[in-house]
Amino acid sequence: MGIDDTYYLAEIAVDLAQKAGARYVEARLQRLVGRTVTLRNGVPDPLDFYDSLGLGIRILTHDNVLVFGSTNKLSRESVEDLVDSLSSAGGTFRGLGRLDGLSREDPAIASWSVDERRRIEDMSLDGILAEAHMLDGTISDVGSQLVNRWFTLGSSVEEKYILTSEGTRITSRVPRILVLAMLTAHENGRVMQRFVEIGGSGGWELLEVLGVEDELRVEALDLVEVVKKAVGEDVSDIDSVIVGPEISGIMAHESIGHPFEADRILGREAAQAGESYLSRNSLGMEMGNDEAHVSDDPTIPHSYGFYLFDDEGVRARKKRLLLAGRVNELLHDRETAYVFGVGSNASSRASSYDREPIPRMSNTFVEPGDYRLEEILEEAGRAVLMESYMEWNIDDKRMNQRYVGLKAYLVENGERRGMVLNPVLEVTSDKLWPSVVARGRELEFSAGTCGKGEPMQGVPVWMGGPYMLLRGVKVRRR
Amino acid sequence: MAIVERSDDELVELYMMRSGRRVLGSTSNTSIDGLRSLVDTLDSSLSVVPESSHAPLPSPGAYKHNGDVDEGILHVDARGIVEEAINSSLSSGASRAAGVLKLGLLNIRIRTSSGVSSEDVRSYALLNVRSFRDGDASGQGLTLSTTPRRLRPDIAGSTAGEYAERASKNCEIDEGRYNLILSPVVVADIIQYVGWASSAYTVSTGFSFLEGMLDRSIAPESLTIIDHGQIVDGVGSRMFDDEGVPTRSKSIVERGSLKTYLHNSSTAKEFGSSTTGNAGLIEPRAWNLEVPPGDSRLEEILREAGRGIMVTSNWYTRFQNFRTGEYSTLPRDAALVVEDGDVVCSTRGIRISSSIPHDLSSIRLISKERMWVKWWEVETPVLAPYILVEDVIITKPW
Repeated sequence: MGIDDTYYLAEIAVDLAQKAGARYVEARLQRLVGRTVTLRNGVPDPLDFYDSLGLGIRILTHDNVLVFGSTNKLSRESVEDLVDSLSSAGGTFRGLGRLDGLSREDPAIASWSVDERRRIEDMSLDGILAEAHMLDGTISDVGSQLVNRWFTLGSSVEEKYILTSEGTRITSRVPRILVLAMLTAHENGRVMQRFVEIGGSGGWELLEVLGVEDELRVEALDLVEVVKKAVGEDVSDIDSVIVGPEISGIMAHESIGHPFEADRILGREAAQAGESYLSRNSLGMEMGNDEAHVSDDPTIPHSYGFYLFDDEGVRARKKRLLLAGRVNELLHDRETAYVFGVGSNASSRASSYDREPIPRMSNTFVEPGDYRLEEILEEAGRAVLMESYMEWNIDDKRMNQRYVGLKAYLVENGERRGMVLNPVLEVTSDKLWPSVVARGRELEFSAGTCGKGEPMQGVPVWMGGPYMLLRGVKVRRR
Repeated sequence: MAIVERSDDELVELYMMRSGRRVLGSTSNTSIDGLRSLVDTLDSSLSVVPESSHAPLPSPGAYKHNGDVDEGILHVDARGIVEEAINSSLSSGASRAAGVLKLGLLNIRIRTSSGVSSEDVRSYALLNVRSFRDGDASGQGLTLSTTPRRLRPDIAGSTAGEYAERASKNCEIDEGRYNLILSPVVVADIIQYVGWASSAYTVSTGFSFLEGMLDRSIAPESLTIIDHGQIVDGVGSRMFDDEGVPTRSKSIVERGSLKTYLHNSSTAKEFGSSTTGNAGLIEPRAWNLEVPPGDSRLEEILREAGRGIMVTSNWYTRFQNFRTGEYSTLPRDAALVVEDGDVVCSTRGIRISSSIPHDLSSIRLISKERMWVKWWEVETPVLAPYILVEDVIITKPW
């Protein structure tokens, strides 16, 4: 059964809910089909195939209660049952919470897909296994210090059909590739680990486009170098830190992207992922200097967080979240946009048919600047350069954050000196963004799976940035 | 703001093995055509995949349900439960409250080529309340059970409200080493990672801080950790595992010593051991973890802590190194500063920077009081006490 064989169920759901008096109905059929190869030190675990297809329905009832339900029992009867139960649940919860409307958006009729030169489905299982062994081999070839490898190569295709009571009708297809690797290296009693995540949207050509083989080899070589060479240098006197693209990217994601999600500001996530250091009145607020620019853009080709229309059918666009240090734009769906009195900026995403669409990031990044890396190293003086990290976290208002470097160097006189063991950057958001004094020209991205919501929703994202010089922040060692 | 969600799903998982070759698949299309398609996909794959270490599927065992299920769980007064929690929170000091009530019914059927054929029905009711007061002051309350009849939304609400009120008496502390009184919510987070690290799959992939520690001491004798296949109020309970082996109770840690890894048939063969009834077809996993009660009342622990911090909740635990267990996590909600048994204030903006082996070996006291914990940050249900852990590093941002 293909997803198009079930389109009629979305029509039924919208019709039934409208007849029950709904102010707004959105029916979303979503299918995810995929294959995953996992190798443990080169030996395959059982191959994993998955195929999920179901219908999610969101209704704004005539009592102004927002209800969401889903089923993967794809029959007329189960859809009728679902709409009935959602309508009655809306009545039961009348008055407990109230949503007066959704932002006005033009209905969209569209069909979009990600370009694939080598379609995901066309790769044979033999071919996938061979690719997995080849990529895993690039890690194992690096040296005897690498004592453990856990490696997965996954491919998937996500298809959607979105139909709303306002006339929106959108079909989409997003193929994706995801490579995960956990590497463990030993040397003279020291053990260190590195988690690698590489992902994007497209066909099998992504392995080349994203440079997966080279990146895995570099990661493995880097880990061996770290386990051999990193030393417990005293860095307590240092007040300049250069972060590489991987760390400027996670900073953009955690310290700007999440707190700019408008539903968090309204308290939607208060008991789980938390709230935000921003308030309803924070637009225009200064929280960084002129060098602080962070954006979110779902339309970047090959990106892991790619989409052209969000899950409410709003056309995607780039959002300049932090512009020259000022709060410029939040991440909105139609629900939060209505409350804030603005239009949606197409940030509504659902990870699966059985998840409600909510404001999410897509590809969040620090905008590139004018500096060459050599100039940043020169400018920094005595500094710590943190290229990669393992441990990180941030408080649930997105203020107090920590990044613990893995591949890191002491920088003096414009040059990398020795490797520094486990440098810790622990800083608040209101000190981090004013400390940005220089940004590199080159923008690089890392893949991630961003978690939010109850039930939990993991959605694919990219996080990125250039090299970035921070002045006036302290660093220490773990 | 309120949102009501309802889902009704079916999923079939299929595991096929032939001549040492293994594949695994799942589909939500449970029609005959859908299942035939899955079988065809897996069958054709078996000729392609290489042989790997495996064990035959186990024979049927004796299955006995512990009777702890509420099949009417989806018809309770959900609004009443939510309102009771909110009202209790507001009357206990909160100015606003947020939270989630989850009610679910799970029907699991298994059939294998080795003759297993059985069915299990389970229910769960989880309520998480977070209360706020004076801007940044917050508190959390939890209640969970296999039936809403045993939920205590009044206590979850009042606990959250009272913690929020206490958190409003804010004070600053210096970085340094502190004795921590970890609440059941925080203990559950640490213990779930012990459960994860005890999975033989975790060990074999190099992720486990328990590698090489079998039959060695990892904690004081006062600490035992038990995994229960079935236990009253254990919302992770299952009568059989994913290979059809009857689940059972077993000590992972007994009197401070690591006694077993968790196994399915394949990892048991790999490790020269026996299945513990914890399959996962790929990864063995814990069902419900229990830390048996200690000898101390909470008041005694607070007195014994000297100058310490009682951490009532935490989130965002991340590891620098899974093999060594080095991690940090953020206390959230009330973090009560205790001096000689008295709570003097609550502090914010702190971080625990430690390692799980250090935490386990630095346990000094375990409380008699315990509660079940499962929420956004804790996936495996844990029946957890308060625990006093000595000499833990607390850091703050600059």
